[in-house]
Amino acid sequence: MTESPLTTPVVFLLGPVPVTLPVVATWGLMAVMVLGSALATRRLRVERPGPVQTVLELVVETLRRQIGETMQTDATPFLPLLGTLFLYLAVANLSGLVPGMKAPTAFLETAMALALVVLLASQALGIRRRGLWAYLKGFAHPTPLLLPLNLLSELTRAFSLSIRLFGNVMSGEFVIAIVLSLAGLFVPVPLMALELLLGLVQAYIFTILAAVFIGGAVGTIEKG
Amino acid sequence: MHIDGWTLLLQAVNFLILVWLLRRFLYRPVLAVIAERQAATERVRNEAEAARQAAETARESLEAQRTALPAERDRLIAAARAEAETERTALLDKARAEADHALEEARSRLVDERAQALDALQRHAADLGTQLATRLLRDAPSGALTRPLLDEACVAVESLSGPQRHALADGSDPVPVRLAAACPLSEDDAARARDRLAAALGRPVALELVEDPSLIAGVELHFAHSVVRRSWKQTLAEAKEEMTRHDSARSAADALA
Repeated sequence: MTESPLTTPVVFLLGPVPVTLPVVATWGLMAVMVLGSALATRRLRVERPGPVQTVLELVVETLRRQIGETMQTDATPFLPLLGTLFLYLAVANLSGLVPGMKAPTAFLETAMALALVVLLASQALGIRRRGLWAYLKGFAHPTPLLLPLNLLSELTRAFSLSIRLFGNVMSGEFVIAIVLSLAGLFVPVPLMALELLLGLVQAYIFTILAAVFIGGAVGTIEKG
Repeated sequence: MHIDGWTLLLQAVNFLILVWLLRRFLYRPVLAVIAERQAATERVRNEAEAARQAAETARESLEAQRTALPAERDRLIAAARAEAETERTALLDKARAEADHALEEARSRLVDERAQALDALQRHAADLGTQLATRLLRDAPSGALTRPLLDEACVAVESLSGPQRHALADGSDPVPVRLAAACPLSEDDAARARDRLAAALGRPVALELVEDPSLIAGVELHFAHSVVRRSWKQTLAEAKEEMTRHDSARSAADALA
């Protein structure tokens, strides 16, 4: 039987700070993503781009278009945050399929950290775009009586983001691990294929919801 | 269930660092090359659009020229025809004017020649008439014809006014008068004429008698500055002159008519 999915294994201690498995895995994924990006963007060409450049441009342009369609505005200022969110989530979710690895997003801390970043970013961007007073007045819309509920909904939305991601990824990996331990080597392959799709879908959902929250905060779309 | 705060914080920081790194190494260069390509594409598209516009403008210009060609051809033909018509009319008018002028000159010349011929003919006729009359009268008894004419000459002197008679005398005493007669006068006729002239002039008259057959009949009284003529030669000359003048006037009137 596998260990509890709700525990976060500590890999080593850095003074008083416990460095856990998702943090180490994230560092590894960050190294891969940053090095890969740096290598892939070394020789970008306007004329006759190579296959790698074509894929990069396709990914970046698709992300920008999807985010722009969701936020109904030019997505370029939001692309680093939301694009990175999608890429990291996709890579992190799929990393759980690599034998011996565990997806960082299968830990509640990672999901909550990402949701917290989205929550803080939406507040900061909303204040910067609309001004502090106008942004705060938005919480009393349509009536001040709804102010507590609106504030609470900000928190619950972030919470639901994190729980949704964590639950899906964790449960998928947990089921695969159980099936693998019970049935044998190749039996969980269909489940892994499903987990492949699920990881991408969860990355997409998380990113789109984050775009919706930030779009609502900056006022480009109606606040949900 | 336990949530590790350090992990949560480190993951948030990790993500923010990843955002910054990917922005630096992925988004910025890829977006830059995409923008550059879009700019190049837009530039090429603009150039193509400009070329298309130029081609369209050239096509429209050619089409307009092609459409205007028949009208321009008709206009040029009409202008050439009008110019030729104007030139033809001018030439015709000029030829007509020249013909009229030549005709008028010919008519005028013809009238002049006709008048001159008629005048010459009339002069010739008058000369012939005068010569004929002279020849006929020369055979007439001039003595009988001269005496009355001598009387008429004396009457003419007598009928002059006082100053005129004084002018005839010219202050001479006696007054020299040369009396030319067509035939020799008798002593009586000469004496009577002298007396009448002396009476008319109020002083003696020295009369010189001269015979002049060219007078045909009659006399001429030659004073110092004046002549009193009463002869057929004079009459015929006046008749000829009058006839010639009348005929010339009638010829001119006929020509004008």
